[in-house]
Amino acid sequence: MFDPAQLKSKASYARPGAFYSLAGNLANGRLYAGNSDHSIQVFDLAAEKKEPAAVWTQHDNFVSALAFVPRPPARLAISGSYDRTLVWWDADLGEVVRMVAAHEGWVRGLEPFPDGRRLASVGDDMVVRLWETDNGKPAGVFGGHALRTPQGHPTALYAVAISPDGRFVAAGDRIGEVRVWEADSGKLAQVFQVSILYTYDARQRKRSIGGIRSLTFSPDGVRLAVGGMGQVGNVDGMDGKARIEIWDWRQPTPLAAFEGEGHKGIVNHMQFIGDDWLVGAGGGGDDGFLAVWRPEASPPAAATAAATAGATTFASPSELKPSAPARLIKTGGHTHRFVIHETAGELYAAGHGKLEVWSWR
Amino acid sequence: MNCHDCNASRRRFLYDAGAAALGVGLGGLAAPYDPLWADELRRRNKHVLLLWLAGGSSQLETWDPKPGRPTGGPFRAIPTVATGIHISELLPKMAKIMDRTAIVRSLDTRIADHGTAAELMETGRTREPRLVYPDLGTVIAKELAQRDAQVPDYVSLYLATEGHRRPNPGFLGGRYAAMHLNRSLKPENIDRPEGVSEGDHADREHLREYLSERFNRSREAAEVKGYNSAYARVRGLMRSDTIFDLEQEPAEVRDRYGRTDFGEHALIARRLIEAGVPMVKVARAWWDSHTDNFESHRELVTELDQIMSTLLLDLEARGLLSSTLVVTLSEFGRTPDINKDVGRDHFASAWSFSLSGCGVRGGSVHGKTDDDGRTVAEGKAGPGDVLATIYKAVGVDPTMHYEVGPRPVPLAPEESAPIETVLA
Repeated sequence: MFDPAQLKSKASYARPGAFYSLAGNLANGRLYAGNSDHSIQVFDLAAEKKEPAAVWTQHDNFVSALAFVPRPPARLAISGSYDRTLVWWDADLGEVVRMVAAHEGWVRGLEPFPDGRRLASVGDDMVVRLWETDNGKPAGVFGGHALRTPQGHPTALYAVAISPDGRFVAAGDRIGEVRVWEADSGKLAQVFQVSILYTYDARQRKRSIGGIRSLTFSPDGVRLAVGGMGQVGNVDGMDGKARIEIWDWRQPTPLAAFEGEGHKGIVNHMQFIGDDWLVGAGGGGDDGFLAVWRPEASPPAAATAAATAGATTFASPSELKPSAPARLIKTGGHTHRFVIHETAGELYAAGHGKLEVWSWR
Repeated sequence: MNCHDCNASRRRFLYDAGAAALGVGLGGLAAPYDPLWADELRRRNKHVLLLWLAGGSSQLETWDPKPGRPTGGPFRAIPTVATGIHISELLPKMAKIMDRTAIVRSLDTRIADHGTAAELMETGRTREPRLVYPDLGTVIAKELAQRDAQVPDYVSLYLATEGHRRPNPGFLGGRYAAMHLNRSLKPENIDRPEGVSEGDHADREHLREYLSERFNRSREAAEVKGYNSAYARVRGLMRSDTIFDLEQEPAEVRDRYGRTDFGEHALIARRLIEAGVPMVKVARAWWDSHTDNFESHRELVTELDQIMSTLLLDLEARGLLSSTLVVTLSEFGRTPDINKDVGRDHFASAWSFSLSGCGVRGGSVHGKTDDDGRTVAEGKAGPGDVLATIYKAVGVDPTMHYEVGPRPVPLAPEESAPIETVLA
């Protein structure tokens, strides 16, 4: 059983550059880590040497997204990059199966559907694109996010999540908007704003920072965790409190907020472990971090009545009293992505300069 | 004759008397009244527009990209219309008109503290205890100002609070100091008092001028001339308030520049130059990307690309680019190595600036940095060289001296020299 109090570093693989993405074939102990040097580095967790077992090269920019999808008899790793492409790899042989021009902008995120038949990617063309896993064919495009910030600047679509039942796809952008679509029909199911996660400094520095950097559905699919950084005083730095908000996305209603106990930074990735724990990772003003919270389902004391579906304004973020984490660990440099292996009692975290193995057993 | 006709006749008498005394037509900007001065005007009718990228813009995300290198970051380099020159993919519009622009990639200015570095780049020198050097803009204002111009000589726009700096006229004093706008897009306190009509205001001014000239006819007192010049500037400034009124521009033009502060400032700058202002500084804060450098430069450089390209093409279409030097400059660049917060820090050892327009060899590059952008490999240039280049581009001799007490002070430091590679 997951016990955050027992989390400790077990092994560290120091590498040049920064890992922006991570996926795992946990059945055979392999991790695939995408790097700023454009490579995908394959790690065999059982190997004694703390270095990649293989290095795959195909992309010509940062490898920003990775997914491992077993499609028997094949095992596939699919990567996304700032070079705007998705690449399908034979995960055992490291051979390119196909390459697809995916987005008109950087690919920022990639998630497989639970049944593995489709993938969802997001990019700076501000759309979600669905793909058939087996042949790379497009399977849908979901749009509607603003193409520019309110100040007229380029924006980004950073985060994508798929509900555990595969029925819904959610995406979050730089200015704090979340959209949820029905995966099969493409019908917009919900849209709401988490504006606290976007800061535009109109007075001192006249630029912006932040955005929704991570999204994840709860195991029951009812709640959506939205991760980023709270309001920032000095946009030169990631100077806002690391922040997660939990929403009942169906209403939509904010249910709870979590901050990093004053820890400043941005939440790059999140995952629920059952109903009891929410793990987040990120980096910023107060160093990289791993943090664990107990997600609360009860509404905050001052929450307004739930709006009808489709409403876009909600309880003021200031009315959400943020909960502190059960555990917060400084990791030394941004942590961009992690993979949890519950059976093994391990968490693998990839970020700047390293891949790190954490254990709670 | 009714009262209206009386007033009109009175205004006509005063206008003609004043015009005769001054020897100028007062229906607009002062016209030259002797052929020698006309030659001087033609020589001096040049302008400098400084786009000051306050906080330190990244050379790797603008003029000196290093794609594929560990220091390069994710942005690609794109070719430009200037053969052999590649710039960041964040500047696609500038790439299409790179033949109007020269780049210097080899600045090594050593100082990487905001305030000290800004002063260094503005004056070409480090501060001395007993001599306050004027900033580049003040020197340009002095050297390019037109006699009896009825527009300001130097306008500086900086609306952010971070890194805000008021230009310092130094030992050149207040005469050429900048009109510094840091609270609004329009100068304050230049509107006529309520209850005073434009006609009444003009009458008063004409009478003042007539009486002043009549008083000074046999005296030739410098003070009286100075006061008249000052009053002419104030009147000019009040008539100039339309220069700052962007409602006068077609919506299509305003949209091309963009409705951001920087876009509107750049459009005001074009209007100022069109009206004859010799020196305009537009500051865009704040480029200090210690964190999330790629996201912030995506925002800032994209905006710079839009505004700079629009400005250059607009000046060119109006026949002003050949007489206007447009400079993009910061106080320093940014570190090649990316820090743990995906940022770049202060870096003054190998960075870039650009020049476009008057006196510039468009499509040229001076200097090179090493493969990772850590050091200058060729053509090292310092802050004094930057100023010398700017002065020479607009026909000002950088070796000329000011006399400050007994001390001759050159416009650019003695050890500096114009960067000839980028000059036409």
